[in-house]
Amino acid sequence: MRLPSRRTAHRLLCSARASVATLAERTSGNVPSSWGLVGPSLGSAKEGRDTNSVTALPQHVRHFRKAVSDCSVWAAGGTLIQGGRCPIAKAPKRRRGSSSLGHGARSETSYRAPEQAGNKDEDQDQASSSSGSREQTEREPGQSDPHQVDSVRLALLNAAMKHVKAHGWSVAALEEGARDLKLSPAAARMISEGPGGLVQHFVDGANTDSLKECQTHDLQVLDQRAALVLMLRTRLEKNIPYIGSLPQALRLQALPKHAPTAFTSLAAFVDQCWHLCGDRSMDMAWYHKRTALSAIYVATELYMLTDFSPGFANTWTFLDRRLKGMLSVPSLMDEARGSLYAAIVQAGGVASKWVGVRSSSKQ
Amino acid sequence: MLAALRRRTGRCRQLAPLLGQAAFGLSASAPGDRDPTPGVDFGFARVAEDAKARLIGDLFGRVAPRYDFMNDLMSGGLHRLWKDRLVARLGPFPGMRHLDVAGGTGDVAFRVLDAIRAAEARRARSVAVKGSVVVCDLTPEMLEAGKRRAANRRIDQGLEWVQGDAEALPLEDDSVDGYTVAFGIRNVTHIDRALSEALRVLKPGGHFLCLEFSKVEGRALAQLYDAYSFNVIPMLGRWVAGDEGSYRYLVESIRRFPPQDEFAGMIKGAGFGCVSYENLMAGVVAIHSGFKL
Repeated sequence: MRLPSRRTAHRLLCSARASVATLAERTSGNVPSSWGLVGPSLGSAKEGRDTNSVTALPQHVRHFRKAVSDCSVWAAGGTLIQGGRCPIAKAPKRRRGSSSLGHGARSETSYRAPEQAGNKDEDQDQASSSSGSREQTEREPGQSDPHQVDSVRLALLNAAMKHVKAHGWSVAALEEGARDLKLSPAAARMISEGPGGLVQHFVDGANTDSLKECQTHDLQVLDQRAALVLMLRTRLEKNIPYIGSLPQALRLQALPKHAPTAFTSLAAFVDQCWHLCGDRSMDMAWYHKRTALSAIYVATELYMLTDFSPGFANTWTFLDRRLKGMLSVPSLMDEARGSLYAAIVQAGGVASKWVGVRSSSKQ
Repeated sequence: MLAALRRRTGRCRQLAPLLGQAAFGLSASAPGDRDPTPGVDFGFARVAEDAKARLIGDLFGRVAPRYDFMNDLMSGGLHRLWKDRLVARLGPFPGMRHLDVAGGTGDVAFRVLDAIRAAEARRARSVAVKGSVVVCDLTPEMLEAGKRRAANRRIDQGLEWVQGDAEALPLEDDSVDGYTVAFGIRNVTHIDRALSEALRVLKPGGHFLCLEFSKVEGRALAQLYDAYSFNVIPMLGRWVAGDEGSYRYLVESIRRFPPQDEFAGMIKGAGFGCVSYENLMAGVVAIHSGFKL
């Protein structure tokens, strides 16, 4: 599939408008003037493609577009994507991420429990903020033996996973896990997020494992759709053993307390999926692709909950349909954008003719 | 500032008759400096190492009858919320054996026991041994007050009252799942010994929790808190409990107690893992948590 090389927020807006206009034109033959489009002189998509180049536009339009694009990148980078994974800042980070994947992703032993990372973040947060009058603060001042703590916590989470089927995503599962490790069940409180931490542990493990499994396939040989289907399906298959308690897990992830972590891990997973597909976009497309794929992942996960077909066959067709739909969007948008430019050019033509007619009539 | 220091040192001298013959080398020192005078802190004063436990015992023997009422009065009822938070962090589970040190009047113990019973009722799987709480206190008078309260609440099972020192607990190794000490560790002569004793009695994986007054963050809040605790609390002690000295000790010992990070370091130094703390009310009290790994 051919992906457009450059796309901006402004362009997207124009393309969407134009596509609506094109559709309306095709169906009824006229476009309401309230859409702000030059209705009667809209050209066909084919005509538009010839004039579809950035240099064909006046300079002020190009400047305006650049400003809009910068603003939207900034806004998206600042608000949507936490952790600075915006296309401008991410290039070196991405390389690091891919190299760690090359070495077998995050290994289980080096996995850092999220609650500790959270504490550390808070540490930095507190260091930067001078006001110390927060109602409740929690820190972990310089650990004596962090490796031991991490390994115990990890072992506890892994042991608790065995009890999820019986006890659900609950403190009871963590307590049973602690009993398995010959620890007092009181150690369940080491997982300070409680059941949400257990869900996060499962999600992190499933994400890492599925990406690792996908890397054993030669993804470059597959086309993009097949590669994405493979990756999302591998990930969703990890849910099958816990399908009975999956609604509970999703509910926990949606809690305000856990939602940011859940969002971040989904974003990271989707990012790696695209990266493994060979996507190297550095513009607004970076955001569109990740947002769209996240939406598809979440939709399919929700679809899975009520899918009782043998082997989740319906889920996989659903996933395939959604991906097909997503990947056909850019070509639709190309077409729509083409028709918009054609419309502008035609309008220009009409206007110049009109001016020409007027000037000639004056003479 | 100087005026404040003078006021405080003046009060240390007021404490002298209270300490009686047991005190020696009583030096009036400001809270900031740790002078090399032999002995241990007793409020802002220094007393002989072996005398502190007896002094504390006497002090709590005196305040025992009105202890809970005074707590409500001085904290505006907030100590109940702090203790609830402590128990929420502990997360009692079915069949838990818990030790509450310096919990004479049973405030924390009743809460833990209720939570254990609630967890046992909630969990479908019944446990072979029902959970229980051991209350350990240095002062027999405090334990008596606790026993009376337990009788009033009609609790006849699951509570054990033990008289003992936090530095030498009358319990076996690896025998409890949880260890709490609420507003008590400050009164212990050697905090490090009490911590290693906690480590000894806890089972592997056991949870150590300490609720204690700590250092208030923010200058304005700290001054407000100082004004309240150095003026209002001793006054309340005089009017309500008729014992100003004991309540002045209470306030002074809070100032002598190490701040959050230092105490967390002590807990870690004793051998606990996964140590963290949580400030309540900007550090008026802090809950320190650690696990025996």
